[in-house]
Amino acid sequence: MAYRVNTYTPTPTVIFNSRATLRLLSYNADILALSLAGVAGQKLVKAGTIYCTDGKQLKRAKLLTDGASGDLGIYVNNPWAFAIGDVLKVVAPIGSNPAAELAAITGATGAAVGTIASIETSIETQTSRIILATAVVGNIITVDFLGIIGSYTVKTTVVADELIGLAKAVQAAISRSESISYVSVTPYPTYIEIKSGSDKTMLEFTASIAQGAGASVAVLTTSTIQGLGKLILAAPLAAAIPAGTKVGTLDQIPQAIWDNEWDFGNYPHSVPLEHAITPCYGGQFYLNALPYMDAQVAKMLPQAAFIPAYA
Amino acid sequence: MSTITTLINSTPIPITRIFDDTQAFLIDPDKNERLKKSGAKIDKVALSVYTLIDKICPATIEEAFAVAAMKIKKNMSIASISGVDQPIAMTGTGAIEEALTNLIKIVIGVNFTEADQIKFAQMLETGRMPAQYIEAIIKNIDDLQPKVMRTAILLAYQVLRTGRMNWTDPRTQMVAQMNYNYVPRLFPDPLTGIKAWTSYATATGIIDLQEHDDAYYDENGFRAEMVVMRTQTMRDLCRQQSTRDAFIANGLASASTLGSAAVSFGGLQRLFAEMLLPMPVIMDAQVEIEPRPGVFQRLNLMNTGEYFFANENMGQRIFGKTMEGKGKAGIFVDTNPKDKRDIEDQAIAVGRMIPFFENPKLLAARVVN
Repeated sequence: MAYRVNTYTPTPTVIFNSRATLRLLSYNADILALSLAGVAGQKLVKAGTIYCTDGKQLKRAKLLTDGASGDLGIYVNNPWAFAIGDVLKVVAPIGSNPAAELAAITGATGAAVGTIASIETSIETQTSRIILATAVVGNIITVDFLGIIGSYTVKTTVVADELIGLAKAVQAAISRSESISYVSVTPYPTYIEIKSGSDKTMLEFTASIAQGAGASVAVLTTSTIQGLGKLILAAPLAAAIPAGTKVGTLDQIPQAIWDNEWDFGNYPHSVPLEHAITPCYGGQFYLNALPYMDAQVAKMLPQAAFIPAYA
Repeated sequence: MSTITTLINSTPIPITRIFDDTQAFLIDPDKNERLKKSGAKIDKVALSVYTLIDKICPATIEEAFAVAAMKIKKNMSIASISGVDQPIAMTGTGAIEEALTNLIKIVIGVNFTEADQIKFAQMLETGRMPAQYIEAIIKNIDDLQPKVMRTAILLAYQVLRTGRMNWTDPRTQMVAQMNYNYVPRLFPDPLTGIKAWTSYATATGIIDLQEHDDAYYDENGFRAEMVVMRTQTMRDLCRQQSTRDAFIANGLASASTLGSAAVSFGGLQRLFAEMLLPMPVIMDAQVEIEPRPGVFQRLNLMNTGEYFFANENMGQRIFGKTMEGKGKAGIFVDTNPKDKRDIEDQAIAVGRMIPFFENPKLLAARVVN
């Protein structure tokens, strides 16, 4: 007998206060399911993704884990937006302020990433690694799963021992949250492995290392062994791109923000009218609820306020 | 993940069972009602961790937009010696100090969008979800008032634990700050190294507590009623060699019967009573926070490795007037449609409060590992 689980998950709240919400009144503001990449059986419009004037999602996303030079693919946090043939660039270098970012987008000055040759659609679980090269006593390692933070201070110079401690700290943080409780964290001699326990769930996390009381800062990298919607490039990456870098096409014009998450997995063509979804061009939005954000979005949505402000 | 498509394309099977996986018991005292319905026993001990704050710092209502307090200090110094034909030595009568505190606005609202309402309507239509189950998922406005109250509880515990309030709201990034002019020696330095309560062989937990309690006695003229800590901290205290020694020295057990075992919680209570120490009380309650929209995390109201002294009614969670409540005091709850189309509903709860401790000399706490 099959044990089937259907879930109702409340949509992550993107809107800070719905009183001020202004919705796009165009009845053409419908997304074509055809334009969405089918990844892991889903055609997902994430809550907080940006709707553009060309009727598609903004084809920009953040790199999930480090892309090493020579990698033939990258993992991003919103593969559903992309299509074969999209030419990807770095939107702006990490740490750019909004003004520099806007200039980089409009001037398309970012480094080339590559052209999408294909998109991996069938893999439904994710396995990622956090790799620690050396252990420096006093360094502080922080792993952040969208706000669920595990932090660990390095105590010895033995990498394997420290990874056990780090894995424990991360697992302890995860176990305090229902949101990501189905994630396993396993220490290995040179890395810790993070696996999603439930299918079709993307694990978004950042890993960082700070000097703390240490004499120097050790090198911490991340990689994804397998994940949802790998964007396979026509040519290998020419240079390494750090996790969190914003990559994408730069010729779209942002118009509005979807406040609900929708999955059009079973619709082959355009979306039936009763499921038309209307994005908001104004209102108050939680900045950190948006899967992607850049200075062009802030500029093109003058009636939207982001909390905290995008700076 | 997917909702509508899954629901529409699946064959309706009526739901016959439901269990609530929303919250760990420690963050939701109302769970007792639900435990009762599903035939489980009510846990009175666990419930007490939530009612403790009502003893120490009960919620009160004040018909004001701000709290104004007046501190009176009488001159209690004794008289002087003088001689014949000498002038009389004079002194002042005392002092009055006014303190004015603004209230902190605590708000929360939930929004039911048209999309949300369609999802629920479809669940009902497909026959998969009886209406009362949907009510169980989103209990509507009943849930909002406790949310405001729990923020107030969190702020009160911060003052009890640290003598100050410093809370950065994860949603709004607004900061609630207030510094009580506590007595520094009632917040002694943290215990570290061999003195840390987790260094079982070398720590001197009972003596640390005694010294702290004596300082409290010296300041206030009476002893604290209770010392509040987490289960884990109390366990650390029970395991210490010095606690075991004191247990034996006070005649509560012989060295041979205690052996190498840790002192029990009941034993610790008897030991504290013998030594005139405040009654040890366990407090493990938690709250749930939303560090990022849609991501939830449980937060201990107290950390492991700290304790504070407390008395009944030593403070108040004062709720004042709100404009939303038309100038009435309390927690104001309202639900209304967003606009005249009456599709999007919005339910809000608003309160303005301050954790108020008239006498900051009653605040005393310490980090012990």
